Amino acid sequence: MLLMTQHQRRIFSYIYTLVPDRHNSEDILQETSLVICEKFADFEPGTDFVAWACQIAYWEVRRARQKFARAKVIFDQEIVDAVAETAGTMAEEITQRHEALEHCLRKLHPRDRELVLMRYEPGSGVEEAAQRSGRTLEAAYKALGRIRKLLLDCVTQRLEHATS
Amino acid sequence: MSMSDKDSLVLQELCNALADGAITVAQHRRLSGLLRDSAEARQFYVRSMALSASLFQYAGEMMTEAPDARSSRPRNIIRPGAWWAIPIAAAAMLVLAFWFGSNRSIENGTGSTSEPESEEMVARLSGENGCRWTGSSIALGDELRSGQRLDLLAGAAEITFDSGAQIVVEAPASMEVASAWNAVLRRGTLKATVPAQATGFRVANAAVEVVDLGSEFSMIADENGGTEVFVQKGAVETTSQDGSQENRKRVVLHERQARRFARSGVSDVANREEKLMRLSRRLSFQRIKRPFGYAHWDFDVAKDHVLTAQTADLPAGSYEMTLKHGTALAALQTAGRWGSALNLDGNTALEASFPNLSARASRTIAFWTRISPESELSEAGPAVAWLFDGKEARLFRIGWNRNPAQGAFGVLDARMGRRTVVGMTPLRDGQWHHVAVVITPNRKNEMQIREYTDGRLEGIGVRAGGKRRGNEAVEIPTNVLAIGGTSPSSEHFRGGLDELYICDRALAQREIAYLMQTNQVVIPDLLAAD
Repeated sequence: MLLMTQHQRRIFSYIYTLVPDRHNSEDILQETSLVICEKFADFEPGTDFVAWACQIAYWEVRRARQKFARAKVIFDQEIVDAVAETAGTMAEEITQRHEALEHCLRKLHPRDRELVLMRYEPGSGVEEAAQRSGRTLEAAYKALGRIRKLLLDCVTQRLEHATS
Repeated sequence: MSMSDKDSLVLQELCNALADGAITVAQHRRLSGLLRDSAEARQFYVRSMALSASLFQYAGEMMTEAPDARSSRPRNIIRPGAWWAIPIAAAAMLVLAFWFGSNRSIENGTGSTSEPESEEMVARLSGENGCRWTGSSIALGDELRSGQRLDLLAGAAEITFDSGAQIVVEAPASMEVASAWNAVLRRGTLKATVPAQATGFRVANAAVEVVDLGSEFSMIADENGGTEVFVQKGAVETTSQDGSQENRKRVVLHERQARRFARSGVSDVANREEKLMRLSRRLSFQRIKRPFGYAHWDFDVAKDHVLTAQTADLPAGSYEMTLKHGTALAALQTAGRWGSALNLDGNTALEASFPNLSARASRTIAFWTRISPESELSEAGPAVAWLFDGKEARLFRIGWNRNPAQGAFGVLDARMGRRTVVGMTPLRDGQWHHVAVVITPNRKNEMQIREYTDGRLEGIGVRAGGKRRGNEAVEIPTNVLAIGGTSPSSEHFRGGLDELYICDRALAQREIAYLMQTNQVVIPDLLAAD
């Protein structure tokens, strides 16, 4: 399953966009991987593997939504569908943004970089990052919002610069 | 509908709240409205969420190092956080591990003996003959860490790597233990004996890189930077380090062949036969006995609904395994790898009292397992588990990996709390596989995990793992061994289990291979170096 390994990151990104919860997204990624293994014979070599895998992921998201039905913050299917369609058309851009992000992370102030990486570390969260960085929880939320904006802007500028 | 500046700011705030899990119901409603009505909002949302998805991945990769340091800092372990870089094949992993390890060593030059940064234990001084070291002395039996440099002034030393490769170094010699799979010889004479499970073991220096292809080989590195390579048994692949990358041709040397590698090029070795004779002589070594206690469940006979254990040199206790919940024992027995085995059905759990099992100490857990390709994710519960350190947060469990974020699907997965190490060989193939997990406290008292599948080292390190929510229901007390599951409501293991051994010391690869081949615990005197 070399293809799955190669493109796992992109499939995860797609799932996370539809189900913006890390743990749930990873669970769905697991289920998706399993279905991809089972249905791999159906994949036509030479066609877009990521698009095919994302189709499977989409149905796994739909299936998983039943489990999340009691959650207070769950998007309606109509919105999930609209977002899925948008995400599908932006696949190439998202890949470019991922690559540009590495450069932008390097440009961050070390203190900001440390905070954002602590926040996103496996098993971590905002509270843990706040504690480890000596910030209050409120300060950490604010700082993370600011850092994300910096990163989004940096990535956008880098992509614009690359195409100009 | 085009978004106003105000909407953009609001959207950004909402995306942040969503990403941080802090969104309120009212905010979520507002976000839903924006996403429903505006294509522009949906594009912004996709970029924002994709940023978070990317950050999860970069943070996993950069977990212990600043981004600025990434390109320059050598890495000799593959971090699970870099989960899009799951190793495809053992060979590729070994190549990478070696590449980083050996290059670092060569770049470090020939300075004085220094302490390695790494706490990863990868080898052991298993034998010595009149050793005198420069710098801090190394005692017989000491664990050696990744990156540890050894300068031998006099005598001969035998080093056993966790991969199973064993080398003998004769003074005067200077070398580095780069990882469980490779060493760097700067100066002196080295002889390597490599078992089949450690094929791919490498020794390198500035002149040549030697990759074992199932062999015994020797190297003599002189003061002038030249190195002679001799093959006593089997074959090795050599790559001259002289010249540009393009000119670095690989040459396979077979039994009784030898070559000299130097700046001036590759040449024949003078007095080859004479040197081969000298290198083939056996040195005698002082070794230490390392006896250990163990419990062994063969699962052959269930008497009175109890599976008994054979024990040796363990604290007094029954060690009897009884059904906790699920199917009756008699119905679980099936033909095993040796005699009968347990065929756990994904609903059954057993327990055995095991005095001191929860203590922070070295252990080796070895067993045969057979897992059906039809096993479902919900049947990936622990084959073996116990509470480590007496804390529920530190459940130690061995099963198969169901999380692609942590490594290849279906491979061995040993986890201690949030730390996890995965193997490389898929176990979900309906065949019997021998697995062994070794846990050892390092100098910082962190637990290092080593994993062997079918006798081959596949995972090593104290690694912070991918997600594990820690919501696995655990209803086992301390000092109790759980088989198949940790509570009626948690995931259970489905698959065959046979010849379970739990030893109270970290076994070496040779001992594990012996156990796998004979189903007998090794008698220390019979195996050199162990």
